[in-house]
Amino acid sequence: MSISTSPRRSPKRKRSESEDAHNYDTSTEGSAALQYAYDEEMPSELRTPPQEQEQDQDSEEQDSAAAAKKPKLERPKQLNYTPHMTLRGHKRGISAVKYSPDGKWLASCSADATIKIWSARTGALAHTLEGHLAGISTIAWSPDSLILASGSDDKLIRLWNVSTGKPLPQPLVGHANYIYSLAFSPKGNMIVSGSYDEAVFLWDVRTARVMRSLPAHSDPVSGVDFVRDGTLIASCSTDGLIRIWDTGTGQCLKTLVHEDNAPVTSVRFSPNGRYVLACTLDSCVRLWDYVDGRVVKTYQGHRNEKYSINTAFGVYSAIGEEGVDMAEEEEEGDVEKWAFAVGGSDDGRVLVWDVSSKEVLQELQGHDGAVLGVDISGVSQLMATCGLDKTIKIWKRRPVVSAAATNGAHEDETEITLAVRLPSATRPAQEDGLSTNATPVVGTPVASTEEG
Amino acid sequence: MSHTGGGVEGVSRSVSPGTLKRKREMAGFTHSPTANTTADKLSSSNTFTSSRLSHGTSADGRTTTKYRSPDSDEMQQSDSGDTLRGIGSASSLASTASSVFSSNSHAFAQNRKASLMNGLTPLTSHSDSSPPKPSSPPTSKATANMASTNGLLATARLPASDTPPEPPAAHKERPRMLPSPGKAKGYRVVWDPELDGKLSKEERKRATLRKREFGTEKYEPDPPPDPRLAIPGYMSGQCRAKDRPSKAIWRPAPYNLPPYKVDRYSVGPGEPQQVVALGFDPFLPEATLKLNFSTYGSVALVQSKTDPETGSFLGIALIKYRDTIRDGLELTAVAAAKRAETEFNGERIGLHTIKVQVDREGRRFKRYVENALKKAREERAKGRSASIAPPPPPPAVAAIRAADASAPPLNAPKGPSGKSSTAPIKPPEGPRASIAPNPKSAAASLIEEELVLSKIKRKPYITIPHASVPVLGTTIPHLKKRLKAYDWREVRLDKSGYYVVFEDSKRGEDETERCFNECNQALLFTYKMGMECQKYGNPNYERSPSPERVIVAKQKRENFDRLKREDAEDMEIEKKNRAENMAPVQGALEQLRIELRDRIMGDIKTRIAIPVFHESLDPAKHTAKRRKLGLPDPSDNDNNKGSALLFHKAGDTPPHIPKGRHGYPLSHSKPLRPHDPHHQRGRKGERERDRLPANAFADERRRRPAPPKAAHTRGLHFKLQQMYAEEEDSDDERRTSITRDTEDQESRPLSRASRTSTPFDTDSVAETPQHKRRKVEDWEEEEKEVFDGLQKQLLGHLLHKEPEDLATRELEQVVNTLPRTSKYAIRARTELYIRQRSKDDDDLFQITSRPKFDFVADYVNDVAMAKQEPESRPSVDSDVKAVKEKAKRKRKTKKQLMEEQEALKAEAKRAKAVSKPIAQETVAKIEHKEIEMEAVEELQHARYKFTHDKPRRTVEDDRDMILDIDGWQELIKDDEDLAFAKKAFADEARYDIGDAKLWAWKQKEIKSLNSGAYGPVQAETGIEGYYVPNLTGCARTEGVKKILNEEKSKYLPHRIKVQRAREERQAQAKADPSVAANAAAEAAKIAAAEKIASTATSRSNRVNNRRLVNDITLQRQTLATANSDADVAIRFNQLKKRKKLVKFDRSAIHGWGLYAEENIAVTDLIIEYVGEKVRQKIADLREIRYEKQGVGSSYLFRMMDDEIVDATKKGGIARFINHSCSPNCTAKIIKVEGTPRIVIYALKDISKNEELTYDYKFERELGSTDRIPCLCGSANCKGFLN
Repeated sequence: MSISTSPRRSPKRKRSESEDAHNYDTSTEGSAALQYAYDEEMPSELRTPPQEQEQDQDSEEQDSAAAAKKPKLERPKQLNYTPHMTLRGHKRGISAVKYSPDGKWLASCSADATIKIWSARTGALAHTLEGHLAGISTIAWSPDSLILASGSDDKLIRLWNVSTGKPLPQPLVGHANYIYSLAFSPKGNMIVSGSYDEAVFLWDVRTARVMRSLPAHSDPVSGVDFVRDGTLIASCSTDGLIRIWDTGTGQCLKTLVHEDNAPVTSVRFSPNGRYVLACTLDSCVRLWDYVDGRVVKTYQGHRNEKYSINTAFGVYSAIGEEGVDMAEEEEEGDVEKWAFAVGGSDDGRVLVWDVSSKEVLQELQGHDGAVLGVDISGVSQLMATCGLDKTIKIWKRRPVVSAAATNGAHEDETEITLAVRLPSATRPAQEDGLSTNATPVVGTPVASTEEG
Repeated sequence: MSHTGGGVEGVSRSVSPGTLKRKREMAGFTHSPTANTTADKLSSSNTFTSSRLSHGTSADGRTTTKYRSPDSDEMQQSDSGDTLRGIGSASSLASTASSVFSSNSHAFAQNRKASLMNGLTPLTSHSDSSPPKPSSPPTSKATANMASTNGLLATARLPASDTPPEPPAAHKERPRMLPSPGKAKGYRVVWDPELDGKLSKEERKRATLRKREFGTEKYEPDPPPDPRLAIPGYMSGQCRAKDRPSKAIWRPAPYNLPPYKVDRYSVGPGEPQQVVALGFDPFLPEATLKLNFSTYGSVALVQSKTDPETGSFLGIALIKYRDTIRDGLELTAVAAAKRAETEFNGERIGLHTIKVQVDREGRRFKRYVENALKKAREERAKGRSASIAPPPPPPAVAAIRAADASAPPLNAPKGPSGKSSTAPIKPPEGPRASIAPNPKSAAASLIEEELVLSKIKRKPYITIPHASVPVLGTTIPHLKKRLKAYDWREVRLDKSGYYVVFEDSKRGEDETERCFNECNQALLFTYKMGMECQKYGNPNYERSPSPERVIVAKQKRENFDRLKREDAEDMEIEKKNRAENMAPVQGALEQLRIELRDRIMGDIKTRIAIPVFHESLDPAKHTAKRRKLGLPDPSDNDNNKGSALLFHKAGDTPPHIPKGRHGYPLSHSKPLRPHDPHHQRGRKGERERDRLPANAFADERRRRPAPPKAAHTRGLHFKLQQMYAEEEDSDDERRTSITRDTEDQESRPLSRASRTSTPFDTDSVAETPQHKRRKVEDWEEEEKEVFDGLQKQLLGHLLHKEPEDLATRELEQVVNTLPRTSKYAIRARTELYIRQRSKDDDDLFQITSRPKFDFVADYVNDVAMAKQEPESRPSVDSDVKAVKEKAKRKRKTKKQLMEEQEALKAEAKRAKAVSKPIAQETVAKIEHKEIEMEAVEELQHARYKFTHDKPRRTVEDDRDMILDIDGWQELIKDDEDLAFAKKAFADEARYDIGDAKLWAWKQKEIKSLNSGAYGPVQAETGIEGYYVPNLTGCARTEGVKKILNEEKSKYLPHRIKVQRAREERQAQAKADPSVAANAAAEAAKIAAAEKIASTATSRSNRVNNRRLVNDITLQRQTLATANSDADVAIRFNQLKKRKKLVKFDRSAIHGWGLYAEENIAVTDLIIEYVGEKVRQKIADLREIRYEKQGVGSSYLFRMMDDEIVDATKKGGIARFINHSCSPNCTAKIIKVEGTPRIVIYALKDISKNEELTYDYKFERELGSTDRIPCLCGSANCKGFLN
């Protein structure tokens, strides 16, 4: 299924003035996803269950103008994310990475009780937020990118002023055990938190009080998320349930249970708010239509049996043969986009799936140990991953370099596999590069521009 | 038959009472031959004799005309002028004859035998009392005939010429009910021997028939027995119908039977055919009367009665109807009479309302006439006997004229004529008017001889003086009428004027006033009523005192007199005494002596006693005693007092004194103004208190303490004494609520204001310190300190004693061991300080009160501690690595550290091994920097002073301090310390912390962020509550792992709660095992009750009460039909109607639980267990599948042998109800409309938020391996579900 936005609906995001002119890709490519995520009228095809066969029709309908203007592009069968930077500095495993909504910052939290704010663009360490007494499992950005919320094992949720690096004086106190998951409401006035104490708390940010306690689960709440308009909350737990809650009333609207009842480790609403993506410890990522209460897609290929990994949604578009930069294409404004989902793996890989076709678009290797956090920058072609190996890796999307891909990768099966395996081939080299870069000076980009 | 009167003769006006006999005679007399012939025709052969006899009787009648009633005689004699009264006149006779009686009755009346012959019901009574019968057809026929034969005035007399020539056929003569007795008509066989089986043939032949004649029986006058009397208990009303053995009494008495209907078989007088009319104008012509009444039917006769004495009409008439056919419609006399009664009654003829009543036999008419005549006679008698000679009875013509102008009293006074003799004579208005007493005399008698005013007393009244309205008795009714709008009681009249008296009440007074306001100067006829209103009765009236009062007054007066007399006597005596003691010098001396004595006493008090007293009160002098008694040193208070004084003297106001409107204090702003005790009181003060925040949690029922005293109006010395007290107990004192305020104001005596402002208000002074003292004591008792294990171990024997009782050395030990914040330590320290000081003082004054060995002991102790120091140092130093790394290591005392030494060392080594290799010199540098930085810090806590008794340490380290950065900085005070520290840390691995200052600052920041404190702290900054650090650092990096239930119950709030309750119970059970089970149950009950009490609002109380009532009734029913399914079904229906509010939430027992959201009464149905109904096989399959899927809970409920309710996937929330070994609910399977249902109902009263549980009743599998553990936590838990 393709996720496409009509040209008029993807207004150009104003580039921030602070960015340098020679800035490589603060492109607004990703803003489309963000845009439709907050758009009232979502693309029609997102309202229907993703059907592979509908893809062509939809794209034709939606982009008839574009098609007329430009030769129709095939959906790429692979993506080419390449290691861009490796950020080091945390002393223990990193539990989550999150790009700020404005795309400027990358926040990472770690078991060493610190949060680090990195410049998304340069990878420079901006702040180290210290104050928690125990390791931090989860972070969440406020929609205005000014506040970062962090949930720690010390049972506190702290709110940090990102610009000063200081915590707000009043933490959110109330959980009886480790905070495990957090999400900011789209308006930024509420925080939902899931904890080891099996409760989901809805906090009022301004008063730092619990607004509502949702008697949610019988096991630690591993993931929470707000839908894009803030009216729904999804929570999941290792008791195998995914629950959809009404924010206003606190009513449980839906409980999603898979037959196998495998522990669910993360849940995330799709940008259009129609589905939830949930990881379970049976090495599956499932896309649920929560209205019908059924699994729409199941993505596999990774290994997930122990850790609570995160997922992220992203969009990609067909890249022309000449390898035009995304930014330029975005300027043209009629790019057909498809959605993909990213998830880590216990074995250190990162997998990218096409949402509709369930194909593995790319398999990124680079982490040494489970990949716990993945995030995709909303505004640039960047993907950040982190894991138990105390490093954050920034991946940048490049045009698919292999000739086969330019010729139409889908035709040649072997080529695809090649292309997909490309990063794995370069893995040793990459690792060497990383290991050589092990300097005490932290936070500098590794400048890992090496590509396979 | 002479007719002398005018045109009205022919209709006899009246039948005067007592003339019945005569009438009969006349009727008999009037029997004409034709009538007889008719009768003959109709009658049977044996009636012939009767007719003949009747002839005879009529002859007799003629002869018996001499039997006249005295009335009629009198009439004939008296009214000579009234020709109409001729009773024996032919017309009268004729009419009587025509009017009433049948020939039969006539005949019977005359001759009883004849009547018997006629076969009529024999009348046992005398003819006088015999009821007059309505006209029967033969008579009417006879009348008609007679009328025609009489011929004379027939047409004139009967204007209703529509009289039918023949009576309606329907009214034939009634058949006789019984045949007249005669000779035997035959015989009846009573006994036939042929039919008697008992007899032999012979006998039969011999025997003859026995027969009885019939037809000759005498007529039995006895009525047949009433069949109802055969019903037992009929008369007493106790009877019951046999077929209806109900409780209700059968009442055979006909309440609502239709009225007795007269038909042609009816016996007795028929329905009324005549009406009596009265109330009309007596002078109304008979013709008009007849005309009026003929509208309802054909009038046969109009009889108007005259007064036999005066001959005047009485205004009473009897109208008799007859049957006619009008417009082809048969119109019976009965119907006409009825119609006349119903329609004409209350109607008017002219101005008079007519009263019309049916009169079956003319008795009513008779009664009325008699009454009227009696009244008239009495009146006449009265008139004759009156002192004032009544005017001669007006001549008839005059009377008529007067009557003509009857209605308004024309001769009412038209001007101030004043002649009472011309009181209006009210003409009689029909019979009732004649009842009224003689108006003239009455009017005269209305003027009271005595003055009305004297009789009125206290009643409100209005006077209309005779000057404005002339005094006339006759005016009273008019005045009454005039004032009818007002509720007066009586109108009285004397020669001074009219008195309208009203009710003696407030209402009456109001009415009086209203009347006066509205009617004063109003017109009465042509006069103006000049009124005079006396609302409160006769102003001059004086109540005569009651005898008791008289006695009391007399006694009083006597007393008074006596006192006066005694006073006078006393005066005399005194005067005498004075005269004797007349020595002014002596008096002056006496005075001086008194003054001098006072003075000296005052001086002794102020100059000698008080200083001595004060001196003796000096706290310093009483240390020993105080110590003995265990009282605290008041020196702190002294300090406070001083500062407060300064504060006060500076002219500033203490904060609790209310400020005036302009900001300066209310009373002290103008210290010189005259003191006004009432000035500050009242509203302003109240408002001030209102403004203070009300204590919302205060118990309103509790008696509030007296409102704060008006302290600012008192002298300064009071202020000083009260200042602390007020601050101390402000919590209580200021606890105000608006509602209580008003109450207080009311209940407080007014005089209190002045009392509080005087300096002699002792109670207020004494009260507050007492209060304060009590409070302090309470507080000390409550705050029992809790010491941790180590401290207890060290100081176990000391902690039970009061610090004041401890030896100095012990005190020191306490101070050194306990943390500084400990209350006990503070007290000990204070005590130590006091002792030190007193010892110093003693030293100063060369007093040696303490034995020397104390010093030695102290010294030894100190030395020991000094020795201890270096020992403990290395232990502290050894784990500095750990300190650096974690920054928040917990350490309490050195001793503790010593104990932990080994473990920490091991840890440090491990940390060393793990940590990255860090250059040693860096660490040294950091250390140095840090120490440099610290050295600059001021040493605040060092106390510099000379020691004179023993060598003292320059610095006393606080061993409670947490050795974080601040702690170290506090601890290391000089270069020497630093050197030691360096030495101690020398063998520790270094750790890269970057910029040392930054690092240190950050650590401090983190500490302050989490604990809210800067600087050295005694309490560990850490994570509160349950915290198990994850090995990898945080939960997410740790990975998902199964959390055991035991661990969960350590941090899940609801489990902790239950766990705690359980532990409590267990502890209780352990403490008192004998009553363990009971106590546990009791405790739970109490807890539940408390919960109810705390949560229940008034509304819920009401609801509970209502429910309770319902339950009681329900239970009663339940008892009646114990445990039957029917009543469960009733409750099931009840459930359907009103569902109990329940919710599911996390449960401590297992996963989820169901909780009551309202208070549920015992036996109430709570919820139905709903789910899919499956067979056993399916259930087994599902169970396996669920197990495989990992559905942790079993939601299968066995309903029948092969019916299992599976609520796992589809089902109600009842499935969440957990098992408990002491459940509060039970599940019952009932059949509702043929299908079994599982319903849960309450076994106990369940309070809100209580978890619902029932016993799952799994089969016990004692030997089984997979037994399900029970977590219900009840006192009598069996441990396993199965």
